[in-house]
Amino acid sequence: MATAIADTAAGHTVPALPSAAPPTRPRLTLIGTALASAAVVMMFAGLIGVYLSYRSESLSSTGKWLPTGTSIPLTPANTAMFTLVLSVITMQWAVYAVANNDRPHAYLALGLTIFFGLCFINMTSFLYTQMELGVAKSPAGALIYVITGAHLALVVIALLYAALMTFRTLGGEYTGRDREGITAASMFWYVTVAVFAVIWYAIYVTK
Amino acid sequence: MAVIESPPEVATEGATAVPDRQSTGLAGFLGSGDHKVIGRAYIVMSLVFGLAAAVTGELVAVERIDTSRLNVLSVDTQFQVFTFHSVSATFLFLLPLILGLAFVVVPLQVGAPTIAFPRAAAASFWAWLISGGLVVTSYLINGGPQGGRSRGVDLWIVALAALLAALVLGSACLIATVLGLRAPGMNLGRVPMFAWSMLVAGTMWLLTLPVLVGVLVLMYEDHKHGRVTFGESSGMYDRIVWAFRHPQVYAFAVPVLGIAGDVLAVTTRSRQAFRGVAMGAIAAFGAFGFGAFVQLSVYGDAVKQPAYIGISLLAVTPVLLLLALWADLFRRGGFSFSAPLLFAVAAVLMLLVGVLAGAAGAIPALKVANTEWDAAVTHYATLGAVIAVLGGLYWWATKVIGRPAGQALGGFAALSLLLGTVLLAFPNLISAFLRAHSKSTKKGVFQALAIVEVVGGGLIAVGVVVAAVNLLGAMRRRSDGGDGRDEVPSDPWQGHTLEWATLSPPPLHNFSSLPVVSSPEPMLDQREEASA
Repeated sequence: MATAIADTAAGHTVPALPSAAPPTRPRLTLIGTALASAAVVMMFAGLIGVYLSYRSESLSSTGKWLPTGTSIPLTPANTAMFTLVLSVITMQWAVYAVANNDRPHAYLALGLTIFFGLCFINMTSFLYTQMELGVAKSPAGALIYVITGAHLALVVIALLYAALMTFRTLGGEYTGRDREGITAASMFWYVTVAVFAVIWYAIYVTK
Repeated sequence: MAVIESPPEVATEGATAVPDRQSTGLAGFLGSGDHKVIGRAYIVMSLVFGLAAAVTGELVAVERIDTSRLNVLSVDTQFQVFTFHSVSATFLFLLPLILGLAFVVVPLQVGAPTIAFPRAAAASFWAWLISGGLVVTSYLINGGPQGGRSRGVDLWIVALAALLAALVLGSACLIATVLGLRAPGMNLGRVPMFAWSMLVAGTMWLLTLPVLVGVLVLMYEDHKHGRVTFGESSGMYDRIVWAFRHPQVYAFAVPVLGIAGDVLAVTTRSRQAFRGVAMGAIAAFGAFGFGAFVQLSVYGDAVKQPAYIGISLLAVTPVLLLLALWADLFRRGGFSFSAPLLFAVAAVLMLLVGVLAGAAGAIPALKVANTEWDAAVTHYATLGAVIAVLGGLYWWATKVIGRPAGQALGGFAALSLLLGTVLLAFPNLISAFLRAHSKSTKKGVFQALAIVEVVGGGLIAVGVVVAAVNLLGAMRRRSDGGDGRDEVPSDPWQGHTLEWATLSPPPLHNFSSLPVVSSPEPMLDQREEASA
């Protein structure tokens, strides 16, 4: 490729080089990430299933779910959801940039994704301070804190994974021809966001 | 943007990297990423834990004999011993034993130089071993479900969750190996039956065990903070019992079908006809093993739902279909008796009885749901899996332990396990049926059935110990080829699949060269071409 650029600069036109053979490495990182994502999805499916079951039982027997005096403001939750949706866009931007060997934009997009993730953590912790929900006072408190807390942990893991892949991209490991690592990190991030979308609706919206 | 960097032509191999030389001694073992070393470690330690599971199982069986003069356990410890038996038999013995065999054999079967993510595979073993030790410790300090010491209960929850996470990690390594490291020419339709069954089983474990981890996380948080959701520790076992009953136990028994498929095809010297149908049947059986929805503590009517009844009834179909396909193998080819053949037949028979009993138990008119009937189904399915894996150890002994195992003692172990399983599980079916339909049955009948169970449990323990001692003894035995050199046949069974293409025991990177894979039976192809 460097040869082709030099020849063009000297006024010659040369046919494009044939594309290189695909990388010989099996796409194990992608497979492993897909498996981890499946396990994570199932864990949250189980947790949310238990939550909905207890909520339904409580509503049918007592007519209420959240303890008296508890309020879960929707605005911070909506903002958190919107932030994660934005992070999906920046993450896909990063994948696109790496696919095009566009490193500056890849760094920018990955940096923004990590920034949005940190903002999400900040917003969730702010929401905790606003909820007035005791963890040990009702089943609702226990279940909500476990589910949202587990998701916070998942966001941290996904951020670390994205950061690791960012450093590898900085180191030149991933390129347009072999972008498996960044694709895998993006897949895990999308799963993290998708899980939050369900939590957002099941817990924060329907309350 | 101008491209100024040249990407590497050959990708790095971080996910499959293993050192070129194997360290020896303790350091070599502790730091090994070799799938064979990790697999053997899983097998040996699961057998050690299995001994504890067998002893506690016998104690539970003895306690079922209703006599005022024989009280082995105090009332307080009975339930803890029972739950320890369930947890240890499943997660400290059966699943790691299956994983151990699969860790050794599956990469060889698919022609891979290593397991996918070797460091993660090693981490799964060490995490499983440490958390398994903590589970045992938690019981010893009066923890576990209904435990008297709060910190012991907390330790039990955390250790069990970590143990499950370790098993899921090991499963993921196996799945990734089958999906990503197959030899050239080996598409998924050409994957050997055991490797295929592990792909199916591993996927089901990966999809169901995290649900159990989630429940444990909830239990831990609730137990630490107020106990307002789940109450005291007495109800904890009810929240995880779905993992020890059907249909979930079918997911643990899927490898029975894979091991039997490989052993029977080679033993009958025939190619598996309708191979796609057989693979589909194994996949369907695995899918019917999704039991995470039968959470009786959350949804008590789960066993009355059409999904549960339908799955229980449908689970019989793939097993019957495979039996028909294997009967065709015997019809087309001859066979000679061997210990693995006995193990395979015994395992399939036990699994068949288990799924038939599971189907019958799901019929509401029989009124046996949530009784000893379920324990019988669990015992048939899980012990069928134990028999199959021990048979697999005999079949792949030259690859796993580096020596062929003694066939006579193996045959004895297989028969002992078969008889023991029948004697342990069948009385449960009878007593559950009698309790539901015959109120006038005398107490002595149930007493006699409980005694038969104890005998059955003893026979199973004898079978496992004989098989284990025989296999370990074979490791010490040298098979000299007359010139003083230790010669172990690379292919003692005239096998069909790639694991027989390498030395016994296999070298560090498994293969020096691979035959061309153009069918599911590349070794058979090679022999037929050579003789043509």
